[in-house]
Amino acid sequence: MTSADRATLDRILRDYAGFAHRLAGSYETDPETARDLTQEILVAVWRAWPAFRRQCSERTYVARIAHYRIATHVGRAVRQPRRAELTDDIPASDPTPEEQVMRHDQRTRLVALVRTLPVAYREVALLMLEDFTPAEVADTLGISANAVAVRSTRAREMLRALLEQRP
Amino acid sequence: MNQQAPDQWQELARIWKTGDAPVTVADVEELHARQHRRLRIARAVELACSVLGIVAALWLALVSRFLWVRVLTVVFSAASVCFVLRARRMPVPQGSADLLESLKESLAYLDWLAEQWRYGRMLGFMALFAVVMAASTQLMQLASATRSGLLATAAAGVAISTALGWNMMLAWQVRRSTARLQAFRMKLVTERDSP
Repeated sequence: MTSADRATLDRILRDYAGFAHRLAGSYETDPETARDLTQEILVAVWRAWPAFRRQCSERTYVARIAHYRIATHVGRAVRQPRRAELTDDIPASDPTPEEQVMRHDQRTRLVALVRTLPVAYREVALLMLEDFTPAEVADTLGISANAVAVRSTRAREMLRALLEQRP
Repeated sequence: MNQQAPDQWQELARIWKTGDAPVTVADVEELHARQHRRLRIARAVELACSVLGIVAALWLALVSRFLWVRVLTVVFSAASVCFVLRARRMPVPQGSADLLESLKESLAYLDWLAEQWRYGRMLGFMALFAVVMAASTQLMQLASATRSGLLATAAAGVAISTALGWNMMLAWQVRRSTARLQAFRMKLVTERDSP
């Protein structure tokens, strides 16, 4: 591996490993499989990196590859969510232990709830949660801006309602 | 479009993003190396099988008394190599198109691949039929059949049967992938414009 390749991989991991893992985790309840899927996404991004011609934003490019990888993983991905609890492998960055526990608990619930969303809503919600703009979401998924706006609103309402309801 | 949407997601996004990915550079490098290794092995096996098939076909062509068997076995071997090379050449689309477009292109690619395997299978069955015919003719005239002729026929039969088995396995994989992608795409397309 050349030093340029290594630098590219370092940057991809630094900027997109979390994104890929969260995306994979929202389709796979099994932590090991989610981890494998994350690695597959990152390898695919790494291999496709030289072909990036700035035809879209960098994160849109990565998101397209990630979604495509997840779609090819679809045999397991489109199964109804199993609502399995996540393991404690995600440390929180809050200052106090109480906040850490609360934040981690909220995140665990949020991930579980995202998995219960219908695929069309989940696709949009995942990207909105990653701070994508509605235009970028439309560009990534190939849907109309209007559909993004409507689904985004409904997905958010569903998530909020579920977060407040569930203990 | 609702321009406030991203802001309204901020609170959820903050919760969403807590934590790190448990993936290291070494993990990714290892997976990459593993994928390369698997690809190299598959290519080596395919190449070895193709070479063996060509040798068997040439051998049969040299010893067979039937011109049509010679032609068919050579054509079968050459076509098998062509199919394998063509199937390996076409890249799968990725980040240059949106998800629906990528899925559409992938399905088109899988259809194309299934068609290649179908042609290959058709040719394989024809070649197998020819070899069976040649073998039965040789057995009917066993007294005049040469040992090398029988061996060549048997070798060609085994090579063609192996290629057919491999072809069917790949075709089954393609069918399974197509069904999965089709189901996922249909789900997205159905819900695409019906928020």
